[in-house]
Amino acid sequence: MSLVAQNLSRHFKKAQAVKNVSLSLQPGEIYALIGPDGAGKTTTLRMLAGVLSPDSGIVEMDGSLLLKDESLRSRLGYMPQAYGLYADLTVTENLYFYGRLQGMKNAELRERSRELLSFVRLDKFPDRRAGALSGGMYKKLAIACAIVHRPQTLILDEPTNGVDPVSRRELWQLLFELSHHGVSIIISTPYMDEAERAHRVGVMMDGTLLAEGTPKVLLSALDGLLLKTEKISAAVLRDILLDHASVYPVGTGVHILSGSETDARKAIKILENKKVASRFQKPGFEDVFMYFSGGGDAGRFRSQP
Amino acid sequence: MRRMLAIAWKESIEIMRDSRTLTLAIILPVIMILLFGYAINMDVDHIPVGIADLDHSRESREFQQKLFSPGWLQKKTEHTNLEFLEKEMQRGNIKMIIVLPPGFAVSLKRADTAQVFAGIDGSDNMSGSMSMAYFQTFLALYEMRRMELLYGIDRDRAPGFESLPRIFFNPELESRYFVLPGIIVLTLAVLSALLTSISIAREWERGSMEQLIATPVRPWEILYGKLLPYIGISMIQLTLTIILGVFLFGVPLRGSLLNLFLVSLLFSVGALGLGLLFSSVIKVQIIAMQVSMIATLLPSVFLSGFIFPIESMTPIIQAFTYIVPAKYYLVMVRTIFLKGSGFAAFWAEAVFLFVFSMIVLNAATHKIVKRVA
Amino acid sequence: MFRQTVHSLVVKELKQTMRDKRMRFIIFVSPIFQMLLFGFALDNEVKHLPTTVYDLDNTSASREFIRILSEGGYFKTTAKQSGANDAATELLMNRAKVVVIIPGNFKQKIDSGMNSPVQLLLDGSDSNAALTATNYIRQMGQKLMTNKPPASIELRTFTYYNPDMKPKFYLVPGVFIMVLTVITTLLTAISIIKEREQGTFEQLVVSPIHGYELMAGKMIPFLIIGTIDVVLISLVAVFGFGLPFHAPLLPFILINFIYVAAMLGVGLFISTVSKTQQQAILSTFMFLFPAIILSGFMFPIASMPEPIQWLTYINPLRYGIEAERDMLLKGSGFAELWIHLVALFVTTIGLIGFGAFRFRKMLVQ
Repeated sequence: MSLVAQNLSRHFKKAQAVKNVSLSLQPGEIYALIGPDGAGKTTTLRMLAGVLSPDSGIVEMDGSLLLKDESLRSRLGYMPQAYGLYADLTVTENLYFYGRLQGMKNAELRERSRELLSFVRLDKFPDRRAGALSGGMYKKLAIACAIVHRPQTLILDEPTNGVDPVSRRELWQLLFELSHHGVSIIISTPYMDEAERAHRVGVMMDGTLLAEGTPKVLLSALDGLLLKTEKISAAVLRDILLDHASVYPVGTGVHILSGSETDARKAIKILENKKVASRFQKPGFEDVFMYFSGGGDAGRFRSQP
Repeated sequence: MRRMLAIAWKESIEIMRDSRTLTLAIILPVIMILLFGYAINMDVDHIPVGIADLDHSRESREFQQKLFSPGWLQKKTEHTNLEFLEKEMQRGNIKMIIVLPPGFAVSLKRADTAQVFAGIDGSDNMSGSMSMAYFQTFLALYEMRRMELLYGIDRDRAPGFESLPRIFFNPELESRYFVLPGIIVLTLAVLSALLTSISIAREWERGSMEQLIATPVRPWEILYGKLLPYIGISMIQLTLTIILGVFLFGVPLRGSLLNLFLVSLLFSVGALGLGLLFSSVIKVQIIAMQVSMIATLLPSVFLSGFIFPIESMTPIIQAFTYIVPAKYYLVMVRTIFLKGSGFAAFWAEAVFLFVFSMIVLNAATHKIVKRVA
Repeated sequence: MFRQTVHSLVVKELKQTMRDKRMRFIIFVSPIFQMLLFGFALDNEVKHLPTTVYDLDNTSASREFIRILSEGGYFKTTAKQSGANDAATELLMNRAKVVVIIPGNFKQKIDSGMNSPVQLLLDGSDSNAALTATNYIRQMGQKLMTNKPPASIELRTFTYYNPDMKPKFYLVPGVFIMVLTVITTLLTAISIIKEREQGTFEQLVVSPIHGYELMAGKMIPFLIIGTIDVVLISLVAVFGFGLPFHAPLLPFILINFIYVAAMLGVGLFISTVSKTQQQAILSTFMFLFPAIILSGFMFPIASMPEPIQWLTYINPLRYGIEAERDMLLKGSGFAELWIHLVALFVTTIGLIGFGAFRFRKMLVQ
């Protein structure tokens, strides 16, 4: 267990941002926290990184309290959502700066930065100002800065947000390589499709962790519960099905999620009577989220890029 | 220590790459010194005067001629209508009205008491009170010379007491000597706080603060790391202003250069620390800068003792001046420049400044919270 | 259309500014606080000068002399009986600004009807204090002279507009302008720069808003805020410091309004030549500091070298301070202040015009 959080709670002014969240990371594991904007993902990650102190609950690393033991911070890499690189510093200078803050020596840094820049494929631009990098390159440099000191735990807040699909795939390749070397990684993302790539997924909504498990296990919970129809609006479907199932638009069609297999069959019958074609559908993480949040608020998700 | 140096190194690169700001920071003090070295003259000169010579005698014209020839007071208008002159004063064209009433010459000749009327513009004290003082002195001399002519009185033999003033350090009372050290102090005081006021707020706004917090870096390392490069800039500013003051304007540097740099170091730590304190408390650049501007510009002008003597202020305001670091620095800079004395003469100021800097730096360190509470 | 767009911009700006507690403080509380602080602080009469008196005579006459010296509150005396050889050290060590040495035969000489010289050592590094001290002591000397010859010229004096020569009366209008100036220039300059730094400016630019609408939308809120500040500051001046309010209302309002507009013009101009907030604030300082010093508030303009005097003709602060003083103390109106009005108006038009020109270039980029 490299990182353990127990019963974390935190409020801002009157709003309860995080309620009683517990989770833990295994060495070499990639854990994805999914949920819509405002679910409490960022607050949770900031507490895990020791940047924000919880109202109650504890964060432990290797058996010591993170907020008590300053030396633990050098085993931790953190990349906040709005990552602040120094625009006036070059790629290499940014790396050196964060390395030095972690107590690394110049000789060590020279080698490490060469290695890292080729790792994140920025080796062609060591002297470019960070301010002149493209969005994807900027994120990759940010990750490089977060791992310059070889942390054993890496916390990334929405690393793929605002990044083109190619760079996103590259970013995930980096994460896989890191995890392969034993680094435990926790990331948050509003994109449901990304969750499938993680080893474990936590579903967050309104400050609570609704469900947790491997992608396979979470998806299998929906076996036989999900139908898909096309060419009909969600509102019309809701009128037809009334309270028999929850209905929400996904991609080109509308998904119908039933509470049980019998309900699902009932729904098919009703739809057949109305001459609406429907078929069983292989669930994705958006459906997983709807399922665990009890048909929650799909509108709060960001559309996939 | 290494982390502090890393911060200082990063900060220096950022400063150097923002060439506009760096240029402004270095050019500004130079412009200030040049401008004020030439512009400021505390001596009242060429005060415009309106005169009503109602006597029109040879004596009254002679009186006028003697009054205006040194050039301190300058005849702007002559008119017999007092109301006209008063209108002129209201328009601000003249600062003083002198009336020589009819019979001026006759009274003088008869050795009666001749009356002279003088009115000054009380809305402009600078020229007002000084021109009056000058006029009084002129009258006294004028009278004395007449006495000598009339009665042959030798003033030195007159009984009573006489003061023998000796002015030290600046016998000619050159206002330049007095003003330039003040300008050095003001420029450094305001610029230092302005420059640092954004530096921590910028980290918050940019989001890099969040990142710094997650590293093992300590608050004091952030603070002192940021302080170091700005101390460098302050010292460059100081060096330039000293060179200009001494070589261009001939202000004597009688004390030790080392002392000057030592106290300046002490001062810039305090002034820069103040900016850092605002920055770490306020966390938003725009507001932090406005607060520093408001908290340094006018107080350094008004409450430092530069122009307005602190001794004359009410006790409450005097107490307030204790937190104006420019006040201590000004005393020390003037002392080193003009008197040439060492720490023995201003140890109290040095201690105050030291205490001030320590308090400010400590407060700033505590305000750089490493965790969002 | 124009009115609606500008209206929404103005409302947005006001809301944005007023919602922040710290901004409200800067706009409303800090001018009042500064007015009070500086208004009470400023008194350019030199008083309580630290003075060391070496009384080498120590007789009734010398003690009487010291008593008179301490009387007016101008000198804060410390008497010493010996050590006059080190008198200069008192100045050197910053222990005193004035040293008076009463010679050992002071009483004897006075009693025998002779002139008794008193030595005066002055600290010229504070030339203000030195000059004033000399004048005070000279006046004292006249007071002490027992058998003065009869004066042949009698001087009658009168002080216009401020009969008691209260320093507050002429200093407060200056502080008035200064506080107002710092607030208004800073607010405008920074608000535009901030918008540009945050990138919201580009959003405004791509929206179908005209450049002049955008400018009006930026300036009107600060004109409103500046006017509120004028009212606040005037209230403090009149009720806090008992300044006479002789100003005719219409000119007072108009001139202050134009003055605020001129300062907004300065702010606008600065914002168009600066890229970052830091540059903006340094440029603001670069304008404010010389403008204050060359306003005639602290240093008489008549004594400045001629080229510098020309410079003061383009200094809006000079016109502002003169107009403020004349209106408040002299009750001057348009008849006397039309030059100031025109000068401020031209400055405003010039600055805003130039600002607008640069502003447009900025938008096009």
